[in-house]
Amino acid sequence: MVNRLQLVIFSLGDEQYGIDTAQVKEITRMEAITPIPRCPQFVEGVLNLRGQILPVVCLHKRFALPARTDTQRTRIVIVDSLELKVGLIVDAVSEVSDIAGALVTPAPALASASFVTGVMHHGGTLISLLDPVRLFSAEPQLGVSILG
Amino acid sequence: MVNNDYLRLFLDEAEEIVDRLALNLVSFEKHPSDTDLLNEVFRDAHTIKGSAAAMGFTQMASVAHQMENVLTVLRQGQIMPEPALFSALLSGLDALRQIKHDVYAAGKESTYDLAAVVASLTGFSQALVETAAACDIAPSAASVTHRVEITLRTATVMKGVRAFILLKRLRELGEIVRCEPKEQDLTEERFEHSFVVEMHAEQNAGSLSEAVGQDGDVEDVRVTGLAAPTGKLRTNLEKQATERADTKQHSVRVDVNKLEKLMNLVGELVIERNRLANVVGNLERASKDNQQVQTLLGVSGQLGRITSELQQEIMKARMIPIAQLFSTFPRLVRDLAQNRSKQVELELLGTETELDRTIVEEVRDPLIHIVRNAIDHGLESKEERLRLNKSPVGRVVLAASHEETNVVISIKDDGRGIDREAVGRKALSLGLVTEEELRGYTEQQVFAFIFAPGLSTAREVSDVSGRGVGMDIVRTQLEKLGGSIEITSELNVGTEFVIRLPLTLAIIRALLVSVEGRSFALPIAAVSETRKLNPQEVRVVQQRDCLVIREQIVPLVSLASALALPSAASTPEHLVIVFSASSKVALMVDRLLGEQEVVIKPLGPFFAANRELAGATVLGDGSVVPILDVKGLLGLLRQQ
Repeated sequence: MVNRLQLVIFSLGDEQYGIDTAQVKEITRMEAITPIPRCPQFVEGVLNLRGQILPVVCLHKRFALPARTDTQRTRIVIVDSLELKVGLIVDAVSEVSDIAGALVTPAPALASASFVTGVMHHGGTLISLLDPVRLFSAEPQLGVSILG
Repeated sequence: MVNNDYLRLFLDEAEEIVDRLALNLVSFEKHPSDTDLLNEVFRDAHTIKGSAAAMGFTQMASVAHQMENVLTVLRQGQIMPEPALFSALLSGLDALRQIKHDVYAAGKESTYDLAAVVASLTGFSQALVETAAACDIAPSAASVTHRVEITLRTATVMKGVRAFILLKRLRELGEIVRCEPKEQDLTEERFEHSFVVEMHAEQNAGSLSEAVGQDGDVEDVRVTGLAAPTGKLRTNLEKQATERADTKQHSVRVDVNKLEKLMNLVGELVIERNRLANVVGNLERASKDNQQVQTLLGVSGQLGRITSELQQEIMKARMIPIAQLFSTFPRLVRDLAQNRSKQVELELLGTETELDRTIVEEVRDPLIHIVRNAIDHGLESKEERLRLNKSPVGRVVLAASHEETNVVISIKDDGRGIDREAVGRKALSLGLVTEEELRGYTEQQVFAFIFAPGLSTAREVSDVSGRGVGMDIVRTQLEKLGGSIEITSELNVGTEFVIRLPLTLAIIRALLVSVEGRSFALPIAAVSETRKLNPQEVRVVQQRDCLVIREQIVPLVSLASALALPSAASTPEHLVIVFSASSKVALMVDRLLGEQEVVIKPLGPFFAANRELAGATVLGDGSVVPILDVKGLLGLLRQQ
């Protein structure tokens, strides 16, 4: 499948991921996050984004990767779509690119890859395309309540 | 397809009119000689008929038309006002309300079985001689002073609506005596492009022409002045005109969502202002003598004052008079009283008292509940009242007023009052209290059992005590709003419920506490007291730590463990005693950080399952603090 894609590309551990720019409102530096009691462990807490209160999720924890260490490059990708408003903590944002003629292959059938809609080659690396809604739609405790 | 702007206008107007009709009809039933009231009712029925017809809502127009006919006969004195007539008019009003509701939901009428309603109405209007005046506009004694010739543009899409709006505008300036073609034909679009209105107006021809000419759909308007009215008529009309000017409010309709958005923006502005004040304060400490910093300090202070004022004003814009809520009661009381064969007089006081519109919605049900109980159980039957040397007519007074930052609503009846002994006995039998405790209880404390779930669901005591079922739900609902309710009562004299509500839900007073290095806000409305923890006071009851506070056993809980916070080596030294309904809990916290007003922001669907949280707020330094929901927290504790 050949597509024209506009992606925010970021890294998590050794891997590269991409999210459609249409779903990303902005990218901010790591900020003070207020933890909220009694919520899933991958929910880091909430963030004050110019007065709006936004939940923040650590993708390391969501993907069961080794614990993250915050650096100068750590970023929060603010996803803002109709279905979902959330900040995703990533290790670094490498680029925002407009990729014409991207060759996207379906995601390998791995259980852990259920958040990934496809995989593509770009600049010599593999990029997994992430659907942010899928990150949470299978969460029983958050459930469908996130949607809408 | 109906133009949406027109539809919205129509619905807004219809709502206003239907509410006003409900009030006026009931009050007219009580004062049948009040012709001003009858005229207003007639005008409203006439207006809604016209606008419904213009919008193509034929069933609505037809019901309103039938009501108008009955009112015409009434105005002509051909029939006497009697309860059955009002019931017919009110059932007509119910039909209007139903249709309006459907139009609001679906944009169109559905199909109604209006036969019964129409039949009961036409039964009264048989005396009506069908004259042009009767089914067209109100017969008017006014003399014609102006002839207004209006031509609409050929491209005008909805001529009927346009004509209706123009007539309405002219009515604001004077009295319409005649239309050519007839008004009904105009609003039902049975005319070419021009029509003539003959009217009585105090204004000069220029202002009439201007009022009509400003409409974009008007091609041409010509106003001719005619003879001036006679002296007596003039004073009468002048009086009417000033009355009209007095009641006409200078206002625009604003979408609630827009207000909501403004409120949010101002909330953010308040937060940023606080941050700015913090930063400037730090700057000043660092470089005291810097002239620029001093200037900045002044600017920041001024900005702070303006922001506060802006916040106040926007909060006021969200306020609506409680009259909107009270207006449902005359009808409710009338129907209930008829149903129970009791005579009840309802008095509404302080109807201009304003409160947040969200609160108005939420407090409606509890209020209806209390009023219904007052009539069902509180007020005695006519015979019983006479035996007790009371007036046969029972009284219910609904009163609203402002008290500091609260709205106070009182519901008072002159019925049998609450039997303290009966309530106490029932509380004893339900094991809510021991005999010894009960002896030491004040009257207030005993009455408070009315709100206990077990007791308020017990029917037998309700009738004895003069209170109905479900008072626990009333209290819960009010507390959810940050409000409270109190009872005073005297046997055979009456009962008064006093409800206190915050002016707004968007901003609350909160107590900030810290546990394990984290801050939380507790709504002050749910805090009964704070004190230092004295370890000697702690008792163990059923393997749980408790305190005895004023002879009441209060569970002692660490807030950190209630919220399942990772525990460090902190030692909670302070107690915050919180309550919801009749349960109290003493929460152990590390520190009390003080009280302040906070803007409540929703946490969003991610935390929907966290019912111990009411939301979050942003403090002056930009940090986020979760706001605890005491009811949810106590629910959580019960599960643990």
